[in-house]
Amino acid sequence: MDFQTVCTYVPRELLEAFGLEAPRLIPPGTVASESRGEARSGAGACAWCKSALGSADQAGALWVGGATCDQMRRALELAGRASAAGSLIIGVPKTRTAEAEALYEQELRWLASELGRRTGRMLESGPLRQAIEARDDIRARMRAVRTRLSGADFTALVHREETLSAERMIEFLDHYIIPAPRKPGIPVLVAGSPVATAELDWLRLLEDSGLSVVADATCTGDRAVDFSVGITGADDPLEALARAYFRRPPCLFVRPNDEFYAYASRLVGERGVQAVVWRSVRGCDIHALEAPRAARLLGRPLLDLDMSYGDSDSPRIRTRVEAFAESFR
Amino acid sequence: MPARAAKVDYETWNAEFRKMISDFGESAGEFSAPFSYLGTPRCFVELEGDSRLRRLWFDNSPAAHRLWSFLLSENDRLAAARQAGKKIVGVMKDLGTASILAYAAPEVVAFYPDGAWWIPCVMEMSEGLLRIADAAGFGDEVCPVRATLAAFLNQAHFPIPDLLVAAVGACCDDMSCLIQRLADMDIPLVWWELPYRRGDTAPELVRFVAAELERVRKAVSGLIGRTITDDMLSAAIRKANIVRGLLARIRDLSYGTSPAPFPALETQICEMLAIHFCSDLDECIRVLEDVLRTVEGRVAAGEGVLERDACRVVWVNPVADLRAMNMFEDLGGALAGTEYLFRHALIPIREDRPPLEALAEAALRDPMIGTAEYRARIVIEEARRYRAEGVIISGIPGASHCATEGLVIREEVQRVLGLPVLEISVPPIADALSGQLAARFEGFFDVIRTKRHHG
Repeated sequence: MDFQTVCTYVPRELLEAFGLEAPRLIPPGTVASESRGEARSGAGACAWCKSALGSADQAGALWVGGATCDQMRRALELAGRASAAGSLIIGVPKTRTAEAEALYEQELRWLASELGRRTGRMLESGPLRQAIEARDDIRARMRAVRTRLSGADFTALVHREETLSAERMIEFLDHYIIPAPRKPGIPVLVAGSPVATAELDWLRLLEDSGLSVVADATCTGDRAVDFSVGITGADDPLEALARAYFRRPPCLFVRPNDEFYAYASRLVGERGVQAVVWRSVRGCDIHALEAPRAARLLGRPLLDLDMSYGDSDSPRIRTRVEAFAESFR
Repeated sequence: MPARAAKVDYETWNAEFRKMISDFGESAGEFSAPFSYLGTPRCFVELEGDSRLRRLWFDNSPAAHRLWSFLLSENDRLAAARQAGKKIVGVMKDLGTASILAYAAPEVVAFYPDGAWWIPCVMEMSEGLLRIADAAGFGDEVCPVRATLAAFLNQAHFPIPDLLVAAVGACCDDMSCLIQRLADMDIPLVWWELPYRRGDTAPELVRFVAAELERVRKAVSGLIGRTITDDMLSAAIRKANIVRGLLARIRDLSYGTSPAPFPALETQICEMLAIHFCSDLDECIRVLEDVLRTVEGRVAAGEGVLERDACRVVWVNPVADLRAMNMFEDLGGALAGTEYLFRHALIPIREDRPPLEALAEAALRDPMIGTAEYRARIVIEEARRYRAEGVIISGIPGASHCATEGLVIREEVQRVLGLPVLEISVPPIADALSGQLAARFEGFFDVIRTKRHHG
């Protein structure tokens, strides 16, 4: 059976401890995939979920994801119905209390039991520790090269990390050569909806227009690797995994979302960010509705872009990006 | 002698009201309890700006007058409560649980600011709430509940609460984003988690939610300066169960009888009262008792407000434009079950266990925090219980949960029951769509009648 994960709140280490390859589905972010997905989801779903639904070969795949936002959990349900295998959806608490953290750990334990039931294997401490250490190593190595990479190249690296097994990712990093030095430009933070594959063009557009993406608070940017589990000998590995994922730089959906802004503000300060590009894909309320607060709380000029997947390199977006960049010269 | 059951237009409704006043032997506008909230329909239009009433059709019973008056006078009631020194708690999103906790203390009045989503409809956009929401970044892509944000910003519709109790978790992204915005307004706010529920409610999830509600209890206790005890909570639960029991009987008679003894619009309002009792729990019980007596009387007399052969339909989701329910009935439909997103507020709360656990159990029945298949099962149960011939899924434009779950409900209803399903979308003012909506209703009823006669 194929396993497919769709959210960064599902620790892939847990699936890897069962010997499973569980790539995270990064949607292509093309108009065609969005249209195919819309036929399965209805028009009101967000572009990311539609593209995901429209791109995967769903037959037989078991979808594993989190009840993070309305769109994601219902897209998982739809994907599970389309596949014969169904879906495994864990609850991801929105509040940040100790009780919520314990609930999240409980959800991971439920997921482990379901994976055990479906694979006929038991979750063992040794393989889980190995999986955690491997992913911690990968994240550390990606953080080490981060500041030398352009925004597009770093996101491409994150996409690769999300889809490759730990073993293959380590092999890839062993031979990784920085594709091109980062272009100088106005240092910006990118935040908002996750960046799909085809939207690497959009990041390139930013950087060709005089902006330099030095920080990326999306879940396909710095937030993907800015944490480690840091397991010690005495730790229960599943407990440590739950703690680390719950306390990682959070998605904007947490309530209150002060932790997200604390993280983003830290990036702004540490990396000399002068401006923010806040981008929401069509239908993503979580990010689109937050733009006015982001402008205030991050204290930098903010370009608010609401984009469909047909927009990545469109004249409309190009003009707005260029005008924004021009305002700093 | 009560008038024969009928639906009447606004002018007739006002005339009926004047006659009712003379029957009561009272002078207009000077009622004593239990009619303290009774107001002329015209005054709600002319003084409050509730102009949509002019375009609606109403049940002609005194009980329905009382029901409407009770609903429409809520903001006055809240203002009076504040003047009387009561604490006002704004409860958000859980729809029917935290409000009971607040009502455990007699010095507290609780209401759902979420209810402001109907203001643009009731006032026919004259209040400008959606424009204010637009300017605040909550545009058409968001559910009409964005009117709530605007009502907080312009402070013209309800008193700003002394405390906000906000459920977040797996319930609704639109509301979650909206409440995050309210958190900047310096109103004391307590967040509590309403978690994702996969299937049946696990005991550990009940314990978790009970602990969340304990935080809410502490916050409300802190507001009033004394502890809300388990005994106080149990008493509030018993009263809430009286409301739920009355509603169960009203629903059974209204949705299970042909001809329908009470119209769709009024039964919808009755159901809504279960959420927070319209800011007066005792009067809420009296209003519903009155409605139940009326409905029972009509059923016993074989009287109804619709044709006996109306097409029997389960209605899914509340409509943003109340007029859509009138249109549905005018064209030949009758409600045979509902799923308005607060089913959990209609189910009796257990009285044989610690009150916070009982409330947690009740909260965890919320259809929004479960799967779309769970909602589909509720719809299927309703259809079976009330012998429905079809299902209408009334989408709420911009509502994040509506985007995908209609598809699942449709598939499940068709797979399990083989009933026809109609999906529509109703904005706050649907006048521009009325031709299209009417055609779709008529086509749908044609399908039902054809199936009725030809299988």
